[in-house]
Amino acid sequence: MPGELVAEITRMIEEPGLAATYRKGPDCALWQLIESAKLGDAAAFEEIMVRYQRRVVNTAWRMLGNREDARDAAQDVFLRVFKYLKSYRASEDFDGWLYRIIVNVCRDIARKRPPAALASYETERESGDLDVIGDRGDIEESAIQSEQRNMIVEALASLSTKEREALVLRDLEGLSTEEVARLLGSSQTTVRSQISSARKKIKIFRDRLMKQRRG
Amino acid sequence: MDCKYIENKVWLYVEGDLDHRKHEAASQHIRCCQQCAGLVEEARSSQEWLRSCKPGRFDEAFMDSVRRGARQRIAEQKSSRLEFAAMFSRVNWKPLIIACPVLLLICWVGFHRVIRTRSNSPNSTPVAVNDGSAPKHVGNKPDRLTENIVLVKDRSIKHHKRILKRVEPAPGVSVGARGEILASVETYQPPMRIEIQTADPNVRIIWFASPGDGPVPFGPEK
Repeated sequence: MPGELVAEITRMIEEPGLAATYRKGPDCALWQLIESAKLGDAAAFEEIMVRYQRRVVNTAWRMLGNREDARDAAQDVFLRVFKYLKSYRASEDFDGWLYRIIVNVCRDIARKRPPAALASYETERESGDLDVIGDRGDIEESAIQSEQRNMIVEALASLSTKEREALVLRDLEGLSTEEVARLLGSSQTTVRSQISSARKKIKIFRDRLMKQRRG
Repeated sequence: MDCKYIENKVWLYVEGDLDHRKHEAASQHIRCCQQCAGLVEEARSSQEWLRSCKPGRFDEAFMDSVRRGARQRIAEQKSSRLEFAAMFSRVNWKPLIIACPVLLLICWVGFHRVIRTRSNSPNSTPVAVNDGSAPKHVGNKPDRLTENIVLVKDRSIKHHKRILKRVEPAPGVSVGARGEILASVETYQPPMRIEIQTADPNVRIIWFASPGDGPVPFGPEK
């Protein structure tokens, strides 16, 4: 045991990021959860899933624009987290690591079902799933929200995969350009160009939709 | 800073993606230019519209189904690993362990047969004699003297295609049973001249083998 402790302290000295992880209060609990999950503690892994499920589902839904695909992606994300948790190092940013998995899983799913993003909107509207998603308290409000959400999903679906990924991570998930570039494995200049183009396309799409509505 | 620049960079400007200096310059221009201020306003409104997209309210049942599905996939993966391990343990390895050396032996024998067949094929190196006759191919079993020359060729000149020339032993010089050149004091003759013409026409190797007193070994190394 003392040997392990010495090794751990040595590792902390060698890896400044790891020491920072130890210092941070909220991350300490997460680190403990991760370490327990690594050792095969099912309850710890369950806790990690509960902590991150909403973020994973929301990001996947924004990327794929489809409830069922989002569920599928979230399940796959947690499977990969379980699979690769042993290779995760405490010096890494867990959120960034998780986002990278989400992006990869969403890419895989989008590749398998290319037209899904656009088609899914129609499917959801037909099946009435969006009504379930919406606020049940106020039907009218729910309908407006649902309609707006559909429009945005359609707008996002009109973007290329790379543009959508950059836009979702930067504007909807609120990551910095630097973080997005790191996650997507691109340069900051490329990401800026992608998000600029994506924002422009979204505006054009929105203007067209507004015109159609008025017409 | 002009309107064209603002038009190009407005989407980066509204979200603060421009560096500080450019952002300040753009802000200064926008304050003075109504048209650019309008562009910025439109861009901001579009961004607000985009951000108004709140993901659907995924209720607890949905989240439960996500976790349940994930657990199921993890269990499936574990069981598939176990299945593979079980399949691995079910395999009867004894015959395979026995078969492997046999297969290796067969491969080794086959390989050697191929190598031997190739080495027995007619030698393509032409050997010319300086009597003016055309180059001739050395057969499967060259005579001793030819063998000597081939040996010298292989050791001394590498990486070149060679044409060998040989001078016949002078009168009075005989060739021994092992291919060595024999000469005696009585039958002294001038040294034997051996020439090797390399692939490079400017390079020719010439040396003189003197039989000297008694037998001079010029054959294979002992």
